[in-house]
Amino acid sequence: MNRVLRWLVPLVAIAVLGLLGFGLTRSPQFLPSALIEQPAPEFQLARLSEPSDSIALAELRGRVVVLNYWASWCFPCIQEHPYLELLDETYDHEDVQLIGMLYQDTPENGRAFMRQYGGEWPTLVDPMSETANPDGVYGPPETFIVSPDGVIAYKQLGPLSPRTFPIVKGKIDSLLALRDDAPQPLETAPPETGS
Amino acid sequence: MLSTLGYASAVGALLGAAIMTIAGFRAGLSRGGDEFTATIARRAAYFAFFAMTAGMLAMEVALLTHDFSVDYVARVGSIETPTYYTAISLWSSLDGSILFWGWILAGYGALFAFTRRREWNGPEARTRAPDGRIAAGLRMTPVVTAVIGTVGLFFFGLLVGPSNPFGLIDPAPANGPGPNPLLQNHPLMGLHPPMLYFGFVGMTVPFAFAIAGLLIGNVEARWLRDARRWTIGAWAFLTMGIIGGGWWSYEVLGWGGAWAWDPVENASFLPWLTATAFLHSAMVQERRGMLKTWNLTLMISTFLLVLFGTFLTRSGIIDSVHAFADGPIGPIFFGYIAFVLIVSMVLIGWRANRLHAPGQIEAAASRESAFIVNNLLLVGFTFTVLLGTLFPLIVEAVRGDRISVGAPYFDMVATPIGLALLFLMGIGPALPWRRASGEKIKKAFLVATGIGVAAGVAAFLLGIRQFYPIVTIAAAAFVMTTIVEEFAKGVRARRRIAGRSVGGALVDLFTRNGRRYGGYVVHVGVVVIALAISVSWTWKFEREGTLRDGQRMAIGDYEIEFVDVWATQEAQRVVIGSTVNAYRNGRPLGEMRPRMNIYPSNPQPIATPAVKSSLTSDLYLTLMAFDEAEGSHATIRAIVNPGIVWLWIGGLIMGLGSLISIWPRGVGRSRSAGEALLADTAAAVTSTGPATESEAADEPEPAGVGT
Amino acid sequence: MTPARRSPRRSPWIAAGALGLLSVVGAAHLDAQQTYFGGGSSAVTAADSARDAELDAMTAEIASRFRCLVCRGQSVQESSSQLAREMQALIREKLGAGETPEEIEAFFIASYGDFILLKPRAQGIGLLVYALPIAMFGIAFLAALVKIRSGRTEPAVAGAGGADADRITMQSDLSEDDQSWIEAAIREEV
Repeated sequence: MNRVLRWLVPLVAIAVLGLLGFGLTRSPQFLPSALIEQPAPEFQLARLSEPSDSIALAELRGRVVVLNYWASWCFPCIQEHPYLELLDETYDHEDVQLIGMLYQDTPENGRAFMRQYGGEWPTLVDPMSETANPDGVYGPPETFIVSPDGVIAYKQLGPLSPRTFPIVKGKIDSLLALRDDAPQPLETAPPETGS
Repeated sequence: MLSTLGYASAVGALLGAAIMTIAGFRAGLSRGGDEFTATIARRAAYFAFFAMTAGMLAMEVALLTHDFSVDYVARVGSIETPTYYTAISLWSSLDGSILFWGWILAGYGALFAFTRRREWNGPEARTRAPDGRIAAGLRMTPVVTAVIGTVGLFFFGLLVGPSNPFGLIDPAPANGPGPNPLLQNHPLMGLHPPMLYFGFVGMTVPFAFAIAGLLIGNVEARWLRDARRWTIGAWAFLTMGIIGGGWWSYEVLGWGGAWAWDPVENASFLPWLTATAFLHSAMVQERRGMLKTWNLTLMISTFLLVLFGTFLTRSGIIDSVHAFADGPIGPIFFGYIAFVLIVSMVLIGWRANRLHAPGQIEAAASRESAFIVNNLLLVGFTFTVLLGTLFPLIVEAVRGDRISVGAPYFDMVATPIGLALLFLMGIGPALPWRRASGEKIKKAFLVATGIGVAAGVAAFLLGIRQFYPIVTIAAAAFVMTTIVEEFAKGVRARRRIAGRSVGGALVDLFTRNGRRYGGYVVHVGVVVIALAISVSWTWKFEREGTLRDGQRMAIGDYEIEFVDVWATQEAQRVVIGSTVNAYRNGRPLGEMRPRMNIYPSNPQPIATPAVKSSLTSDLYLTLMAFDEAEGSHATIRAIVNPGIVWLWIGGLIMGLGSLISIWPRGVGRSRSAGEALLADTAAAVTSTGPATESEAADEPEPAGVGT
Repeated sequence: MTPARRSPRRSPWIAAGALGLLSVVGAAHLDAQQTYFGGGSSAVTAADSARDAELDAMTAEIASRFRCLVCRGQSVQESSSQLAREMQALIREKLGAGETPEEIEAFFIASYGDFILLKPRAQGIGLLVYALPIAMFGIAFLAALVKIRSGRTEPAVAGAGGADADRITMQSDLSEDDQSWIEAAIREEV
């Protein structure tokens, strides 16, 4: 309508264009967790394979914990399963603990899934999502990496895949390296690099 | 075979668009322009339409015969999908939707060329401007055709290249996955997307007018009148597409509302807002010769926002119910948007001085300043919705984390803006052009203000305590009064001049001045929608309960009684439903069957609500949970939605008003003494314009495309 | 608050339905689903006391502030998904335990981030989404005001171009109604 408006419209248009260009460079599925660098919510949950037995996060201090939320009804969980097995084999030592977290599913279905696809690592049952909710989980598979001092270091939304596996592995390795640089070194296998 | 035919058609359309572009620009802009090149441009537009029609039919045949060797069919088709949903799965996925888009675009191009085909029959066709080019009045048609051709180059190019739906799969699979479950849930899917596409693609024509006007440097009376009429046609489709989308969402998504401010819903609303702004500000240019650059900006912005909306759905940059899977098409669209934006800005900058109009607004209380306030509100609205939609991206760019901007934000900002627009609808039309004396203002608004205030007080006395609903009701009464007064004024004048009966005078208003009185009908539709939103928002309530055998739950006037839970196996899904008997004030309404549909390909069950509509209120049931063991109980959410039917009715009224506005007029008109006077006065005015011939009589209208 | 989920006893009619879904994955996945969303929570069942009704209303109000993370475009209050219903139950439980809506909001933000809020907080960069529209309306309003005011001080200039009906001197003996009719008619019939 006058000079100001005449400049305003193109300015807004160019700003929007820039934003769209930026938008193209990232994925809408990417969602950083609010919990990164926060202490991981504590839990003590029954094991899927032996319901009388339970595991608490607090027991695992000093080790890198990989929490993998999954469900038998979750299709991508099937796709990522081989990568979990690979992860479990890669860190076949005391310093890294992979734990499955059964999310919104029945123990029967969970057991059937593990029987069908295999895997030796423990899975915990979280019947009312009492751990999942504070963990901000909403769409399995989601994988959390908890540092040896109980802080959430990384969250992988969506399945482990050829693309995401190296990222997760790199994160675990750097946590191990960090811990090994700490004043009281433990005797461990040297962290692997690359993949 | 079908694959080859389809691909050849797309290539043919691309060729047609190329000829439209080259011949059209040559005919209209260069010295070599003549009747022959203009005719070639026109015929190329026909040819492109013919080719796209063949391509679309080839795809339809492939879909309906389940020819899974065609890439697109293998991706969206399945033998089990019902025929109706197979037919409309043309627009259920990316490549098919571009094919459909291209077909409509070619249709608009051909229709435009067709409506102006007689232009070259007159003697002007052989007269030359001093610089050797064709007569100024004849340049517009080929150039508009050419600009539509350039848009065609992009869309047909997509079909030939990156989003070719006709690719061959060898060996052909035996069956496909079927379309997205959400898109095969309700018959409205056959209506809402095409309406929206006709609206979206239709905005190409005003855009072509804008670019052609800039290239030629002529945006005068005929240009403006035609550009506005094409805009109204596309706008009417867009309006009904948006409201149809709300209806679809209400009937399918099961959350009880019609509009969720989803990014893609917003993206369809944005061009609607700027097109609405143009429809109003165009009248200021028509009457006062002002706002030329502004109007061009609005026309181009509308087209850019259409592209923006398409980009949002197809690039996967924003997560939405409507998002197609992302593919290589995102960056290509981005490049095209940037190209259109830059070319438009350069053109406007180049012509800015020539378009500068000396007009002035003389008084704050005048029709033109009401239109300016209207534009200010609509464009501010556009900006706000755009900002809200893109804000998550802004935050991510700046801070790296994600936030949401959802319905509560948009409701908060949209309500005051919408109300201001509603009020203005009552003020603007009743104000005279140029300047209103205090006396005139008093006369125009005394009754309406009184009735508006009375309605507000009545709403308060009836127990409404929220601020916005009271204001909406007062504003609606105010606007309706001014509209009724406008009609009364017209009828009185008509009775005096032509001696008609009241009914005859009303018919006269529509047949003789449909543009104005059709516009008022559109306004009535808006008032109806505003009231429906306000009423359903105020009195909507819900209740949820788990019901067992024979148990009843009361929700206001309504009551539901549990009968059973059942499950059926359909071709591609398992449907689990609950049957209940519904009653209103003790009177049986019959059975209702809220359902859940479970598709193998989708992790979330899709709820299909059961709705009993009436003019006063809807009963809306959603199945929330059920007993899967014995089917002995179900958890049902019941929502009573008062007056929501009036949303759809309001949408129809808006469509009807638009139709009246652009209906061809001027056929078989009888003349009385008063009209002879009018005709003479009018003739004095017409002679200034670059009119060629009276084409109103034989000009088919864009509204005819979809009917 | 919520009863333990029942074991998945599949009744014959569901089994028959599920059989139709051929793929093993699809069937297993469907089976699990029916189980988990079948276990309806009692948190939002019909209220039978005033206290319950009040809790329901507050739960609904708070739940409508949150985005349902699995459904795109719906709030937790509107959604029938399992996640949303668990969240509703959690909100109600926290309300029942005496937590304020602000505390509950803070809990959800801590778990899911600002992403869960449908209306951004008006702090930091979030202020922009409220301030920019106001600024934009302010600028546009001032611009319009300048345009209208500048016209007021100068003598009227006849509009350039277009069919300017006002340039025609109307016969003074016409009533205002007739005049407006003529104006309208001229505009339309040019």
